[in-house]
Amino acid sequence: MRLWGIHREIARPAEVQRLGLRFINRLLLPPKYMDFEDYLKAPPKVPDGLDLPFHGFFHNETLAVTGHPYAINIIRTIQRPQPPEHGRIGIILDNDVFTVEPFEFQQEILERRLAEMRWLKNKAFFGIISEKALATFQ
Amino acid sequence: MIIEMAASTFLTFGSVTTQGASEAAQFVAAEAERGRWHLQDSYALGLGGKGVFSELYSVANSCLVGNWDGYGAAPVSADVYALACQFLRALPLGIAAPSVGAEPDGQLTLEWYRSPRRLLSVSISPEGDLHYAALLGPNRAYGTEAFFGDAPRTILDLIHRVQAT
Repeated sequence: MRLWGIHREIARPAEVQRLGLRFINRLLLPPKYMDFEDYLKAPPKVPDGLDLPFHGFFHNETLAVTGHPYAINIIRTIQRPQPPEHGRIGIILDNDVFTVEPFEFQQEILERRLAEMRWLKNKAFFGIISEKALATFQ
Repeated sequence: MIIEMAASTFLTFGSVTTQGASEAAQFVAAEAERGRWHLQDSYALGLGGKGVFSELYSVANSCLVGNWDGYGAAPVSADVYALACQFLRALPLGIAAPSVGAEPDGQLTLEWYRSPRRLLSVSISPEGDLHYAALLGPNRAYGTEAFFGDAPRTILDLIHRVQAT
């Protein structure tokens, strides 16, 4: 909000065209660990009859929030091991709540929308990860 | 599970995520782009598979130098070409393919044509404005939408109305 305040002072926007709140979390799995079911409530599945290991996945869902001008873009993907985390795969959880409904700029409207979007973001985040995954953040 | 298939749902929200600067955000953006391009290359769903990007490149390339029409036309800049690519990529998968043209003022034009009384033309300016004009039977619609990376819902709605049976 500090940068937004600076932008507001300089540019004096009259209208907000798009507002987004995005949090990306990365869960580092133990080395050689590929059992996504322990971490995601709706893990990716291999097709029936194909017992093959995952090389990668990218799941993207966009949900429209009924009765409100918001959408939630949820992305779950894996990131291959990065140095110095040799052998440890990362699950990336990307929750993006946004609205493309323009509104006249007023600080109280902005703050209310951000609060609503934060609630949605948290709801989505806690809805996709397991208790075990949650414990890794604590 | 509920799948909302009403066209209005697809028209309401764009496909572009909120921008992020972190390494993870850039990784996700690259992966998403790779996935979208994979689908864009399909003949059934993608504008790439339908040859639109090739046509765009061909038109822009032939209008790189001023006076390309012999009447003093302005050149099509790399910026306009990049914006046109970005706009096409922002369109939903499965959308009808437009034809591509250039205008004497250096703008690129995308046209969705169904009949002489049912068509939409969208011109992309170097400033990132989308100037549109549509004929829908007895009705006309025209205006300008700023392009911020998401396909404006007004234009998506017009494409849908031009193509509607």
